[in-house]
Amino acid sequence: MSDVERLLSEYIAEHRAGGEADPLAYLARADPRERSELATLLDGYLVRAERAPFDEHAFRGSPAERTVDELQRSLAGRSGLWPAVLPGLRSRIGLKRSELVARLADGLGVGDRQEKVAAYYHAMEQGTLDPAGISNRVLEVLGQIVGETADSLRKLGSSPGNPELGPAPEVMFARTAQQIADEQLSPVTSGPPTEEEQDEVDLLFRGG
Amino acid sequence: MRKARAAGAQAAGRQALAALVLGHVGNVRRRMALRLPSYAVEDAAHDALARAIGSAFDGTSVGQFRSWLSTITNRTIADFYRYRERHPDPDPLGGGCEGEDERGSRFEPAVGSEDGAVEMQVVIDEVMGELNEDHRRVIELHVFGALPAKDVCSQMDGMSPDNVAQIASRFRTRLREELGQGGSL
Repeated sequence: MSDVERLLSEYIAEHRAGGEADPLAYLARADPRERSELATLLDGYLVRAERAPFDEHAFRGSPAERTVDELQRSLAGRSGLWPAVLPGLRSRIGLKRSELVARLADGLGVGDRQEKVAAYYHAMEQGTLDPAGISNRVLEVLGQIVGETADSLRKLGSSPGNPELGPAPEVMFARTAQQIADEQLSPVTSGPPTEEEQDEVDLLFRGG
Repeated sequence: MRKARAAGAQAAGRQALAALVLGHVGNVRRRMALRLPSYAVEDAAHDALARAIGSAFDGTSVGQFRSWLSTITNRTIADFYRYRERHPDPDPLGGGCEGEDERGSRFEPAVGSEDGAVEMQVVIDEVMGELNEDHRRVIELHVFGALPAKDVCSQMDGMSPDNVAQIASRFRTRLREELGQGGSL
């Protein structure tokens, strides 16, 4: 048995036994000339491997719980996958929400109305803003900041989700007190402004 | 009563979602770890799962979901490198991530490009595509399923342990050839 076969076999045994099965630990043990082959075989195994059984203790407080929370918000909200994906895109570029909002407001030419842009962007991340009303200009500028195309962001926002996996909107989980408090402060959840009240920011985020 | 039913539906929906995410997140993370710098693995895994579960998948079968998730995982990895190519600020935690065998005690992959990242699955698909149905089954059972040769033979008429060993050996040789042509980890 070659070293690659032995390492693959040991890896599969550890994985099936419910161990950590860190592939990098096995690659580190391989001859550098054989790592490419081993990595490919490990990847091939992982694509085919059975999913792990559900473990309530492992789930509580894990990063997977965050994924579930954001997916639930997405499936029940009005903004498709934005609640699940926008925070991750922001994190990928290492920006706090306030920093992203400042860039977005500047890019839209409304740098003097950051607070209002912040409220709209917050609603996008929370899934409470109708994507149909958001102008392409907003998505283009946001896309340039987070490294996605406007079209891709539009599609993520309009993704219908999977109703089999999430509760209907009317039975959606209670949002945290902070989120509710945020939304109560937000001008975007208190109903659309009247025509006279609308400014350029409203048109950008609600005017389509 | 309606409130209780609503609460029950809510709990059941969350439980199903949690089982799906937790069932797959470990393997998605492991696959990401083979191709991405460590600082990017957690966010990329979250992103791939969110997109796979929340987008076009219609929930028809477990096998289809696994295949769909694999596609989205590969796409997420490719997106990471595409983004990094346009915005070369590789590691927010400091330090490089390519070509290093060890960083402290942590081994890091040295894929470093979109092509390298998607290559693994493409190579396997190509080499598997050259095999006939029986030989593909041998590879699935023996190489990726870690089933001993004699047990493979018990599931396949006319197959001997020597045949199994030869088929597996030829598969790995072809894999090495393809990887040699297409770059390395």
